[in-house]
Amino acid sequence: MPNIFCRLFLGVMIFSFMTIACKKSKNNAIVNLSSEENTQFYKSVLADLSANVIVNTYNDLKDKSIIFYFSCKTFSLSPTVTNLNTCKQNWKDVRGAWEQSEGFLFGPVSIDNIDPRIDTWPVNFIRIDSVLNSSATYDSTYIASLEDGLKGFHPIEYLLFGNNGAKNETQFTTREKDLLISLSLNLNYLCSDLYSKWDINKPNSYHDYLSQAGNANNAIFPNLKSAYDQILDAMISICDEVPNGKIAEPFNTQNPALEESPFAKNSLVDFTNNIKSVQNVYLGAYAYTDGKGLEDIIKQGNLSMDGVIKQKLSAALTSLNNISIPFGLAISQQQTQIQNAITTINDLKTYLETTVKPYVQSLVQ
Amino acid sequence: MCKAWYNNIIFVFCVLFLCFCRKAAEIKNEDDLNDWYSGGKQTVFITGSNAFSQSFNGMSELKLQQHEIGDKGFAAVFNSDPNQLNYGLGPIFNNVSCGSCHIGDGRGKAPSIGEPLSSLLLRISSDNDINNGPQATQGFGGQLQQRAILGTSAECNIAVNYTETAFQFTDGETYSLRTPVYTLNNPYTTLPAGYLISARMATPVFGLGLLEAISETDILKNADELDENGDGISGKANYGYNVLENKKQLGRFGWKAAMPTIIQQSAGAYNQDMGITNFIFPIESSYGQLQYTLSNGKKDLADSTLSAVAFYIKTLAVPGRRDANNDEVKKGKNIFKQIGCAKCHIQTFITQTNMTSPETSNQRIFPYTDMLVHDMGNGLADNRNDFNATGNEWRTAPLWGIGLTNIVNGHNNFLHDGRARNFIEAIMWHSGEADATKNNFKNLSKTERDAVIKFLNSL
Repeated sequence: MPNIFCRLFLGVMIFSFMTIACKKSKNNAIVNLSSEENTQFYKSVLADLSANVIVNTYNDLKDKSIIFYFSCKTFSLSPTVTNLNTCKQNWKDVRGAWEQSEGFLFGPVSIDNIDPRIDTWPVNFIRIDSVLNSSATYDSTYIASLEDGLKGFHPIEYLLFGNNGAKNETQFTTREKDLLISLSLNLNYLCSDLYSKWDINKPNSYHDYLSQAGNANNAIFPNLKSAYDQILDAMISICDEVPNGKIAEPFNTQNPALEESPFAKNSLVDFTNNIKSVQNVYLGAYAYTDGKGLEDIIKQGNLSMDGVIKQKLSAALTSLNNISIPFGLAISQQQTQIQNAITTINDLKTYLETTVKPYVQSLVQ
Repeated sequence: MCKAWYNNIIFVFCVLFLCFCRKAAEIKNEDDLNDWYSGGKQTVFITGSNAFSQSFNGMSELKLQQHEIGDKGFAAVFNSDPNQLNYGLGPIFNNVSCGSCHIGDGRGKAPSIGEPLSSLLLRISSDNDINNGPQATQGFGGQLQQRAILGTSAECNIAVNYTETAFQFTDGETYSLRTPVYTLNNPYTTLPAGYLISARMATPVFGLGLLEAISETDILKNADELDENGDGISGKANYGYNVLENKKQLGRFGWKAAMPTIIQQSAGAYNQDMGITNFIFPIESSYGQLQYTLSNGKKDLADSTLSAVAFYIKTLAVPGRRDANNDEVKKGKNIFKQIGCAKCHIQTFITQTNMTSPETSNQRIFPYTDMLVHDMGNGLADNRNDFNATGNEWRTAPLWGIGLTNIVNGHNNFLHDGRARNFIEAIMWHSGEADATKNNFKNLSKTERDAVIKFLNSL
């Protein structure tokens, strides 16, 4: 009998041990989850990223678009070389803010189809000529009804810079100036709309959802992982689009007509700003604002990874800077530099995709 | 002593064996384990706005390249002639690219009152053609295009309004259902008498390759047109028309399962939604109308682009589940089954073996659809036949990935015209064959209803 009890005791002990062991393996996952302090830290990074980078970029975009609109009006009233140059520079400024927002192309810009209405190319410039030759009144309803290839940055660029990029102040007709004003107003409307949907001061803005990821009843980001996935996916997406779409398509086909901003010869600046957008998200900084970014999470646990990311960001920017002639020419005349930029930016993309994202996911699961 | 220890050692091994058997028994429960992998091997665990836009796993370099070409084609914004790239838009159209309606490869959004239609379109018909498909109307074709290229008249303007009706659950909580009313304003010519319209929202496009890979036999197994088993559910297969093969074929896609293949669905959308002619539908949507000119008559889309876009859609992976082990989610899933939802929203299929498509071959998937059409009641009816589907019948919508709609598309508009603004409304619009199930849901406690919603959000 004692032997039976002994065995029974032994059996119960082993069974309990195995049961506990099994539970422990489940509990290990829970233990691996972020502590409350870490959770708060990850939330604070999201709040900073959203406010300092995303909202500020869109705010800058909105402000610059209205400055641009007024400069178009001024040029229309007084078509001097100075006023035209101001318009051209202001267009580049708005464009800079927009391209620096492409590292976070999610939320209202995508959901509300703002992106295609702002940034469709190539430009259907033959149709733009038809719009100019028509008797249509360029009111907001008419402009909104135009197909996407006839409004936004690039039709404006075509009007402002001309097909060869050298349009001067004497070459504008009244209809062109009228259309320029209406298109720039439409651009301002879309930029303002975009900003208002992220506006920190508005309840239920997209900023609220992102900065409060993981809170109860957050319908868009029910947990931190979904928010960080979103941010990293957006960074990866633009690091894919720049080398494999924006650069590779005109390069592979040797077709400058596929260039993004050919009239202003601004494509390389566009690409550079796209990579800067990724850098902004990583550093948590935009223009004069600086706060927590992904950098703060990575540095906390993996300094060498932080170094690699910064090195790859820097290499990507340098590779674009090494292209020393306008992109439309470089696709045929600086093929080595172009190929190097494709390779280098793809390298950044791959690192973000295969190393950084899994690492962040392991922290914020 | 030695023998006793020997016996004890044997005993220890027996207990260990039992412990491992217990674990093995858990693993064998496919319902609990594999359910995380909604798309079988083609499941991706991504929860951001790109969740519906991931390519299949394990594709060759060549296939990945084709997928990427298709991805670009899907995103390409079309312009009207003449243009160097992406030409051929219109002359009448609903939108300018595939991606403009299927934002993030996901679901379209219902227009608010006064808002122009973007990802919602209206089909129009007068009667049925010889294949029992909708008969195109004189002057308007089979679909209303509310936009037109410069210098051309759109077919009409479409205004939407909604009427609200308040209801109560059995426990007293209230909910409201909105019914859309469409008004066709300023038609470019007189609308035919007795025309019928049907609103169709852009559907998510991920996972379609796997749905196409379910065998016809497996789909038909669940059909019970005459309700011979007396459970009140009479799923029916729809048979659309395969244009390339010139024959009727089991329909799988679209709100009424009238479309047999992904490539035909894509080609039809190019033609009707954008006015982009292609090798499957080479005739302009405006043919025979005032908007048509001879210059519109050429084929707009390269065959290879159409094939690549269809391939892209076919190889979009399915997002995996979240929180599938959460107790409330599991409770919601049990209720979902108990009250009858799973009779039509069938949880799982195994795709057929296909040597030429190893990515979709022999996969256990969890789409939560039976691919059949069901009478959904008069409230949702468009009163218009679409091949075998009557005006009351709609295809059981796949539910996989539905919990990510808000993050990808920024809304939770469901049903064929997006009238439902959340899961609750979508459920409460169910009627016809789904009446009993809907009433079961209506009688649940709030805690139980919340559990079902939490389950849907985990899909």
